[in-house]
Amino acid sequence: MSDPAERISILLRSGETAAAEELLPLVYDQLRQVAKRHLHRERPGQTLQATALVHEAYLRVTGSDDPGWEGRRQFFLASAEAIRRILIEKARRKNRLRHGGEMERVPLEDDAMALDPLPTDDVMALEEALDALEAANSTARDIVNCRYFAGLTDAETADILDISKRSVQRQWQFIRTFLASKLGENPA
Amino acid sequence: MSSDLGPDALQRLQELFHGAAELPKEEREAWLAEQKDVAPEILAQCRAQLELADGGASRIDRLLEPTNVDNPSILERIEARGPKVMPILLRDRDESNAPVLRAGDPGKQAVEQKIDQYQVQGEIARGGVGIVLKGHDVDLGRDVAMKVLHEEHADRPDMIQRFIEEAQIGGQLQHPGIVPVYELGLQADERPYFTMKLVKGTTLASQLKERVDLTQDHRRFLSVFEQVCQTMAYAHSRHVLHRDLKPDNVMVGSFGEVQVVDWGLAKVLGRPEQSRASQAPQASVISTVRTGDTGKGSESLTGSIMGTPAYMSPEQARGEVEELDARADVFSLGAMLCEILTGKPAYQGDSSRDVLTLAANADLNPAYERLDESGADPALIAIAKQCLAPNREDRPATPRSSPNRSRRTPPDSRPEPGMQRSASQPHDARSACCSSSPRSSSPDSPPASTSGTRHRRASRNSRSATSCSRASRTRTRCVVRQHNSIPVVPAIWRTFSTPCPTNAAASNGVGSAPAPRRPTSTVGRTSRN
Repeated sequence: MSDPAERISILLRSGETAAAEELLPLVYDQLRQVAKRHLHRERPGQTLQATALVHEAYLRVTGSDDPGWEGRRQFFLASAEAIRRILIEKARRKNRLRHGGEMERVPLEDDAMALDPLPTDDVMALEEALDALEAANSTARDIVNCRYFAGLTDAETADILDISKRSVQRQWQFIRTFLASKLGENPA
Repeated sequence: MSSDLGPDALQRLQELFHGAAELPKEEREAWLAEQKDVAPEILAQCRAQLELADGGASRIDRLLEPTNVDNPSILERIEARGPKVMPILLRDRDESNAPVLRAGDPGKQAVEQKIDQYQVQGEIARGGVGIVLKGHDVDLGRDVAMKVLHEEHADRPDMIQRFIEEAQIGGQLQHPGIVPVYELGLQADERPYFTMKLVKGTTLASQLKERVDLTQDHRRFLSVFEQVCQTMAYAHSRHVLHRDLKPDNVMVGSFGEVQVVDWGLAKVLGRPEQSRASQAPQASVISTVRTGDTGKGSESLTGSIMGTPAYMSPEQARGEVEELDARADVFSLGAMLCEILTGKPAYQGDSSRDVLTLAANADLNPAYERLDESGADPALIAIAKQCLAPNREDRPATPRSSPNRSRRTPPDSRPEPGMQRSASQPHDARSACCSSSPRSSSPDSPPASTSGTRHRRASRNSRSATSCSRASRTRTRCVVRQHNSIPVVPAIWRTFSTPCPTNAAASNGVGSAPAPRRPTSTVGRTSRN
């Protein structure tokens, strides 16, 4: 039980979808463990890409046994959600520190802090824009989660969400330009 | 940029965007203008997004494409600046020959990852210290083999050192018979990796095994062998020993390409091996991955005794690591020739240990007997036996070993003053140099000037590699002339395959070796004047 990877592996193989609430915190823990390992090995200041983190976590969980499509889907969606939370949490904390008048760069011990940083403001703006988008198109959020937070490719995203690759690409095109304009970017 | 749109408006925006995006650019504006029932702010937002979509990479992409944040591929960088690059993908051949061991790997598709511009497609092999992955270079559109240092050795300086060494040896040995190393890189987690040509083809070992009888493809196998000899002559000229020559380590492609692979045990002459001799036993970074059946002496050993017993010289089998020179490779070449001629390598035994004992004791009589009974060309048998001499002084890296020497000696091949080496001079560089003739004297061989340049560079490298060694200073004077040393090993085939050599063939085999210190582009030519 102490090893989240083991527990996740069992959950993924159980074939039950209802495990989501149980899965998320475990995945969250596991991602932090992986991040911690990296953090201790790497130079200070070095950041970690979410993609690498998620993929390594996946390999640790599944070893050489395929948990099947449902298992994969659950794992990557949960990971994406976990990464998203970690990033938001981190952005909020940074914001607080900044508003508290402290120096902008502070040594952060938290393992999650090793994640490749988005500019804090962007994370928050992204969240807002995504919330708006989700109301109009429920798969938009999933696509962003897979493509961005879990760092999956178009093909992998299509596989996980069970839609065509073409559809992922079309929607992604819309989503990224929508977010770009929301983040105040003007056409070149 | 835009005022906040409600869910319905966003829905409409989405439809509009997709509708317009499907159209060719120049038709979009007209189409949008036709959409009368759309609110102006939605239209404006749509136009802005379409423009962003055409604008190439933007800040948002850098935010949204975490995989490419740090290492956009070259093509992505070029495309980010505007021009769309149409990739070329040549028809592939031999696809079946690059098996990925873990192709059916669980969720492989989902965990496909990228290292720099390489898409990792699976694992080809796994050694004690490194992993060989199959990668795809996205920019150049070609498959590569990637060697990655094992995670558990990521913090061991000796392992890293050896790993880099292997990459450098492979990178600096530039010969058609040697798998080129393309690039040395660092993964995201700071582990080094290097990429190489992905060799497609089958091993000489498996081809030899498939023979119905010994006469099948005899000439072709000898031609493969000659190419291996040429390759090794080149490596030796650069003071690199392979130390694990065997048919398993020779890849033969469908178009006649012959490549010597697995330089994981290679040694640079004149360079102390602190990381290995002292720190055996798991010294090889990538222990031979293509090793076939186990337990019969055909798998590679690492440690103070390295190599493959059935093809191993006595000195190598006794673990005399520091004393090894090119003649150890010559022995292995002899064992390979022996296998081509008789179907069996130099030694045979029930287990690796047995074979190793035979090798250490130089128990070669059975091999000699097999050779004698093989019915092969007596000259080839003679060469094989000479290569398999227990005492390395007797192996044919020296002039006295060439039975046809006098016949082949060009009239004016007198050694330059001061360049002559005595045949008895026991020097490891001798064999390296002796077998290093690039046959530049032949009119149909590659232009002498290029090989001269290459060797000049080679000599600089090898000099720096051995600068610490006192021996290297004497070695650099060694110009081996036909007169006093036939470049035996590479010339084996050249020398013996043609019963009545023509003049061209003769001069082919007798070009002077370049002098490591003063190689001139005209070495080959002037020697004939």
